[in-house]
Amino acid sequence: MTIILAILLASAVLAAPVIHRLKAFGATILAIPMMVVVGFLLNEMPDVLAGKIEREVFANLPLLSAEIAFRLDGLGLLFSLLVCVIGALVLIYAGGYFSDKPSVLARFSSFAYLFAAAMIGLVVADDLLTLFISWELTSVCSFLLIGLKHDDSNARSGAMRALLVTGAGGVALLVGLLLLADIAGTTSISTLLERGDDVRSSSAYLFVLGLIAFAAFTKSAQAPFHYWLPGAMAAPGPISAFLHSATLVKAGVFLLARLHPVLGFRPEWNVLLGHVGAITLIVGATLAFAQNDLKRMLAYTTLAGLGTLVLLLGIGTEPALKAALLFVTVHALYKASLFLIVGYLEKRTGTRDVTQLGGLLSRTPIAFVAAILAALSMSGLPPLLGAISKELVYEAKLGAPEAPILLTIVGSLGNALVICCAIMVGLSPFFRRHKPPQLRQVPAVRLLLGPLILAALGMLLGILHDTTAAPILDAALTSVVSEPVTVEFTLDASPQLVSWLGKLTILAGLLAFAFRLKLLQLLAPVKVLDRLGPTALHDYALNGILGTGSFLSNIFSRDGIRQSLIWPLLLVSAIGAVLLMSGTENWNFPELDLNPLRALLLLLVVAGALGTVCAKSTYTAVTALGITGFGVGMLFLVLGGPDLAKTQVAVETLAVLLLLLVLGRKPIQPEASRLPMRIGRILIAVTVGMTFTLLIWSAAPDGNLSQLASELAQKSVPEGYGRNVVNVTLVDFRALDTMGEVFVLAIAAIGVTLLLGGVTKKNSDSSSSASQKTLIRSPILRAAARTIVPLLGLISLVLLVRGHHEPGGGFVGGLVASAAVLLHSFAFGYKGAGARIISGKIIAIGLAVVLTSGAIGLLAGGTFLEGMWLSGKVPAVGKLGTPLLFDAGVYLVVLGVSTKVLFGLLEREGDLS
Amino acid sequence: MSDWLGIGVGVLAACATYLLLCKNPSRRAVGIILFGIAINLLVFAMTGAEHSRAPLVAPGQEVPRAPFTDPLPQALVLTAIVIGFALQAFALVLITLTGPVDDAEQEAGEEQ
Amino acid sequence: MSVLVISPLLVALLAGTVALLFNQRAQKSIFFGGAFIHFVVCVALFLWIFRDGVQAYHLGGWAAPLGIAFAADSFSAVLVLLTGLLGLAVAPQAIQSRSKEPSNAATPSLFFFLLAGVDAAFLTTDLFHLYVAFELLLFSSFVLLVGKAGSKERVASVRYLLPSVLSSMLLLAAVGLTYGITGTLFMPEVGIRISELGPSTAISAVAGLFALAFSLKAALFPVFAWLPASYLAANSAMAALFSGLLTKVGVYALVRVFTLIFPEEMSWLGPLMLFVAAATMIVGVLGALAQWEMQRLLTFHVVSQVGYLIVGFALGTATALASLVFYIFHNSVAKACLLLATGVVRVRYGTDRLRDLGGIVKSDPWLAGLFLVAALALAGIPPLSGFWAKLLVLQASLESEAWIILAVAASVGILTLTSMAKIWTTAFWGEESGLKRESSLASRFIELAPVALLALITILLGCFAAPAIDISLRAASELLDPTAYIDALRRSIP
Repeated sequence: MTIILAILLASAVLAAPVIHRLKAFGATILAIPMMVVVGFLLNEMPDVLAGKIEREVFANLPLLSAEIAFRLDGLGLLFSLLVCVIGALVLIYAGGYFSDKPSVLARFSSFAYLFAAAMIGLVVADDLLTLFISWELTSVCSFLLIGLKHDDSNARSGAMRALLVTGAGGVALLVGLLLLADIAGTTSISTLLERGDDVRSSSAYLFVLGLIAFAAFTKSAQAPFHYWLPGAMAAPGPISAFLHSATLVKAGVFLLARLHPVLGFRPEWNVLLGHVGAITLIVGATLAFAQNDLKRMLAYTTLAGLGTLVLLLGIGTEPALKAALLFVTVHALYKASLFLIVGYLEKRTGTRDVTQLGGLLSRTPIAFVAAILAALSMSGLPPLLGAISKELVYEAKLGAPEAPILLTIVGSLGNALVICCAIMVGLSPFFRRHKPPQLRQVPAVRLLLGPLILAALGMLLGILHDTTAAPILDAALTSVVSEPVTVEFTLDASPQLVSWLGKLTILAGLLAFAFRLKLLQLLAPVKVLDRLGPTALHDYALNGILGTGSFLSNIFSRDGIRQSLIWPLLLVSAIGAVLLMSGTENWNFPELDLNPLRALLLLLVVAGALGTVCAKSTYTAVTALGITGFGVGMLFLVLGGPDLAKTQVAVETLAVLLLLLVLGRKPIQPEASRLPMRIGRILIAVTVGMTFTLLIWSAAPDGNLSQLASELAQKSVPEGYGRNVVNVTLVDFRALDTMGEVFVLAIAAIGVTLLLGGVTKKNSDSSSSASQKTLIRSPILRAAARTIVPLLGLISLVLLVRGHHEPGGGFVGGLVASAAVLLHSFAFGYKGAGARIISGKIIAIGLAVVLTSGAIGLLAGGTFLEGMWLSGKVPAVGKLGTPLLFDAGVYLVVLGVSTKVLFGLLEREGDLS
Repeated sequence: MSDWLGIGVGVLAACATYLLLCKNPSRRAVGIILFGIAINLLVFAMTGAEHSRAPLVAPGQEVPRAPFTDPLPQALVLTAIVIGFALQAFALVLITLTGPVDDAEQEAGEEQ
Repeated sequence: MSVLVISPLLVALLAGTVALLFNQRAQKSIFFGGAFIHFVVCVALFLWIFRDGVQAYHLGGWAAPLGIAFAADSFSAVLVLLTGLLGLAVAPQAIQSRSKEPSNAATPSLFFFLLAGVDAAFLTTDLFHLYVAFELLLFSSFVLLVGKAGSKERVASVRYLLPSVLSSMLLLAAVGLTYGITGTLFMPEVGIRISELGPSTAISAVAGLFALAFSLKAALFPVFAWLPASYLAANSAMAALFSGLLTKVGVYALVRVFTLIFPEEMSWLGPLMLFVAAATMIVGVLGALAQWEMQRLLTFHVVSQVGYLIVGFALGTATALASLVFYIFHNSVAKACLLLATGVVRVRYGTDRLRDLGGIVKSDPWLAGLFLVAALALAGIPPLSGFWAKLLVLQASLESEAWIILAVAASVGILTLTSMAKIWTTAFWGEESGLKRESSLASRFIELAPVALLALITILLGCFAAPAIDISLRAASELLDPTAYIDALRRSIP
């Protein structure tokens, strides 16, 4: 089997180059691998028929102990032969059909081989996952093939529709197969088939049945999922012939047949398949009857045929299964033949409308031969195989355990209509009195070879059925009922009745044809149904889904910033609500003895916060914010965090300055919102606040220092060589955090520059930015600056160097240094662009210093950021080591960032003023 | 004092939330900054906020004189303040440069 | 050798710094060279972990929790590999788009800082450092997003900024509270302390806060609104990088924190997350279906696909976590491939609006073919990588008897297929739009090379899924039983 698949896949790959070389003739050459495969299959046939079936494992799949495994049994052999024989003939036909479009032909051949590989993979799969993979691949190939001529919007929409319907089936199939594997405990199909009873008695049986049936119904276009098949007729003739009459659409039937030993023999199976099949049969036959477009008519009769097959599988008796398998073959042969003929006629006459065709007998005699043979098979007339098939079908229906009469009547009606269609395609174009349209030249041999052979096969097999068809059907039937059977093409029940029925149906068919137009008038409402039918539903559903999607996406993305904030805040308050409800044992309620200074500061903080809310102007709001920030800074100081206090105050100052600079000129409009909104906001705010309070009450430690903190304090001097524990933590113990921090700072500078760069590039011309900018002309300022600036610089360095032992450090030092730089610039001016570039380089250098300080540790044999110390102390500084270098890097980055940002903002202010 | 800080954080967070939910972008800017302050205060509260002595070792000593405030949350808050400020600075410049001052313009801008 | 654990971070930071020091001319080579070296280092780390198991590194010469330590188990290693791969794949297109806007001189640095933040997040074992890493990557992504001129992008970026900043603050609060409760920030130790303390509402509340913060970052329902609005503004290269990495870091953090620190909380968080996953999947895919521009559509898909990841997280079994690991890798690669392809479409045709495009399969057959591969992969068609990913998720759901999620995951799969088919039939099939611009052979090759690379990986991952699934299962078992993780940290104490 692997060889066969390899041949097919290789042909798929080679198809395009071959066609490009040999053009249309290449298609004939390309039929050869297909025929080789047929040869292989025939070679295996004796073993298969004798029941010697072997399992072939190609690979193990990583999940579920599944495998890529194959097993050529009777059922698989039957389907494979059909696929390959029809495939070979279709390829030759395509060479003629697409003779003037080699690129289309190339794509067709390639996809066709891919499809064939997938289809054969499906029918010989001996593992559920292998089966599924092949199934999905057939859907994909079908999509690509229907859309082969994708310039046509009908082809596109037809392909899409087919993909969606079969795709949905595919998903259901996957879930169904997974469930099946779960129940049976294996993915191997041969083992599965022996565990049918387990499956049938499982509580999940109905689900599995439903899912797998759904998959089969979508693939085989059963009602109400049949609507994709007519749409697929937008594909060119060869494709319809290959896929949508003979192979792809039978995949669903195949699936049901393959799993019949496991899922069948239960009433639900009978009811479901029986009903769906019968309905499909009627729907298909009726719609076919109403068609004038021959190709669509054939599509609808295919529906009827598929419905019959499903119905037969639903009946489930041995005669029914026998009839089904035979009908699969018969139908494939004549339907493919007819599709090809219709394609030929269309090519020659330019139309496939039955009302436009007529009188072609003398012009296309060979076509007629093929057509009449196929039509006879379709009608069930001897000596064609179709006759035998028809009889078996009737027998099955008559022998059905439930409602045999009804089934037979339904079947007969359907058959009558189908026979009418057979007449329409087999006789009408040739004998009807109608002036034939202008005939074109076409490569007749290639176009007619296929249909002729297929139709002839129908006759041959019909005549020689005992020796040829019967044995294969034997084997196939064995797979389906999983016990050896012998097929006899004799009738078990009432041969006379069946014969009568056959004749009656033919008569009815003739009558239907004769009175077709009148009957169609009677059936006019049916066409309306087509418009309200599943196609419309499908489109409606699709539009509904798209509409919902638009609606949702608009709600969730188009709305204001507030909406994206509300949800998280709501969820935070949900956490608070949970805490509230959990009870109060774990909370630390505040004790009432509070240091007055602390109380005051806390009050200040709270007042500031409330002030921001009530503020009516920006200035007030920012001032209030500043009060809050400063208050917090003071709290830090009072509660034992001097470094922290310094940083907080410094940052708060900068923030306030920035806010004033940035927001200052805009007054805050009064919040014009309705009362309910306001109440809602207050409610959420209060609950969020409460959440945090409760969280702190639940989580705050109770006075004892954590072990980690003690360790930090203990090791700070002996191993960190620093007396300021917080600083040692920042630049030594947890230097990586600080490293991240400085890189974030650098990004801020980059970002602000990017934003401002866009503006200044527009506004300024190069001369002004290159020139010296003097901001404040004041001799007093200059005099003061001459002393203050160096002093500040010195202070900044002291802060840096002493930071390891006293409060201070790189960050604060850098801020002071930038204050110095700023003062200098105010007093003495600066070169706009130059200053920014230097600042940028300082940032980069600072980052490099930071990285280097870490690398030193690495290069010296330790770890990254490990503190490496020079022995010996420097007076007033203490030990020199990489942490100090690290801190210096931080200093540089902070200096660079603040100056870059401030210069950038000042530039902009200068340009705008 | 961490429990009192807890109340303080709650008030700050509530005010910040209120501001964040306002339509006015300036208020939202103030709100997010206030929220940042609140969270920083929350982390600091995890020191227990009892002692007033900083974790500094006197010259000649090996360890700071007990009882002192937990140095770790201090280091964390320091880093958080700097990072927060970096973000705020950028955000503020962005907000002003974006242009739309009032809600009408902003809504219009958002519709694109 | 163990310094390899922190090497991705170091290389990224170094490359970004170097890029700042040099002017524009050298930056192209720095950009690509840095991305390449970063990729090599990530691969090396992955291979080392694959061969020798979990590895760790304590920085600064201090043993965690005194200092900060990094650790790489299979999960982290896979994700770091992904980061390196995406960094390399996105670089060419990022360089190319940058060269058209000279004002973005800092893009390489930002790009590397972003990668650094992501690497650090995947490898760190310290909760506060996780916060710092998130800030680093958030800020870099933010500035990258905003860097272009134009107020439309800026409005979009503000929409991205506020929720992200809020989520960072919530994360910081959660980290602080964790220190208050347990007295440490070292994740394994926090986990031990939490289990010693036993369940309490306070712990659950803090866990909930973590979950909320990470859910915001991962753009889950209902807090995902910021993602589509923001990614739209990015050019396709950045969108590819963001969609491949940023939300995944949020998912990673969820998994890491809740397997290592709060495993008990999964008893209530799991079911909640299942609901969130389902809602995310559905809303995301429906939003995608409604779009008529390629990038918008694919961005909505990012939201939807993260839902699949959360299914694995919520179910929490070995199969489920394995599905998460496999799915993250597959999805990021496939999605990045599609977005990069969209970028190529934009460059060559000037637009990505479906209604304006057409017939790309004729005018650009290679591009079309690659897009088809990635689209089929995303839709879960065998034998590509997406099939195995979805199969794992479905199998995990089946094992846990989570029937509703099974149905949702399956149905969303069809809708995903539909949206891919929509793009294919409108933009790639049909008549040619005539919008194609001329470009040199060299630039066409450079544009397509990353797309081809990623598509190839999808194919390989599909055909050779077995080793990948093995690694995923191994990662899952390491997550469920962190003994190896903790041991590695103990062993590598300096």
